[in-house]
Amino acid sequence: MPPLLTTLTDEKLVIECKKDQEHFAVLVERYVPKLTHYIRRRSLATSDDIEDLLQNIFIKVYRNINEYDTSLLFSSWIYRIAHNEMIDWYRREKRRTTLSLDDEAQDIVSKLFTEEDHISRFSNAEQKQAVINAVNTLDEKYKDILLLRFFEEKSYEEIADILQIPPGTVAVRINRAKKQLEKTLTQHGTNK
Amino acid sequence: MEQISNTTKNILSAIETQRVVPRSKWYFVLRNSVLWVPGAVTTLLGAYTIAGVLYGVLHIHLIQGKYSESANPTFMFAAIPLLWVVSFGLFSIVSISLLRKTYAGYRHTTLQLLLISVASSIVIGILFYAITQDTNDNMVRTYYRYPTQHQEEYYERIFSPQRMN
Repeated sequence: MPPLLTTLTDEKLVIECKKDQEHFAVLVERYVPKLTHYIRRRSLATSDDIEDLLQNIFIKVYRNINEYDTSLLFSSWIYRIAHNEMIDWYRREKRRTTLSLDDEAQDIVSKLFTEEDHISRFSNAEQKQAVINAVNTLDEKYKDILLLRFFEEKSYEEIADILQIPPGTVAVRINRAKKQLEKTLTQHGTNK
Repeated sequence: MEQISNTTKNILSAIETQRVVPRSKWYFVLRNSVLWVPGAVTTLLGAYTIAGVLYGVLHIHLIQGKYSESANPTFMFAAIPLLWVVSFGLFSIVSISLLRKTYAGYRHTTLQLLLISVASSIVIGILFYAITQDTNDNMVRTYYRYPTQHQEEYYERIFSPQRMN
């Protein structure tokens, strides 16, 4: 892969990859680690499942590359495709969606809560696990929002583009997700 | 030369073996246009209704004048608002499902989309009314029959009311 290509922006690569597949290879290489991480967090998929999902995602990206609107960030567009592909995968597998956040247990409290009293409240390992369990009891739409906002660190605008909802709805859902999370933690006696 | 990972190689090879080719840009242009058609039709029907209502309100004397033998609007005039209501109901459903798939569609709430449709109908309706006023007058003259003995007085009353004083 020519080193110069790796310095190009996603949007530039998209334009160029319509003429030359080598540019598409750069995009694939750039997004495989990010999407692998996203799929791992969003599901309990095995390595083989992840490989299949990635293959389907990039085939869709390549097939629909002319649909990409440059007014959007390419990352939002590819995350949207990945998100929809995972929903299809869950349907095919007839599984309930589960966030796999065990690897992030150390950071989960500081990611989800900004208030100092919350951070000190959920400081030990047991309580962190309770937070992960509580996140997994949330409604699907809240899980998606929390994952994208606090773990993938996407902006409200990007989340709106990924989930195809109005930006105002993103803010409302984040607020409700946090409230539902606190309620669940209180009910389970963790919020002491 | 930088090395590419095995996953990337597998993906590129799958694209090649499955002979995946990018869909034409026109495919997406056409698909997005089709998604907006129900909304556009509803807005235009609404505009037509608004123009009809404006005409009815501002020219009520034309339709319900005492010289008129046939004061009832034609079926066409009566049916348009109903068509709009039905179409508006359908548009509400369509806006939730289809427009959500378009770039501009999902950025607005359903209520916003519906309000945009109504507001556009009102603006276009006023334009329709202004542009087609002469045609409407002619249509009313054609479709509403008046007794011959009152016709001249009737037209005078409607189209040159200042002379009646």
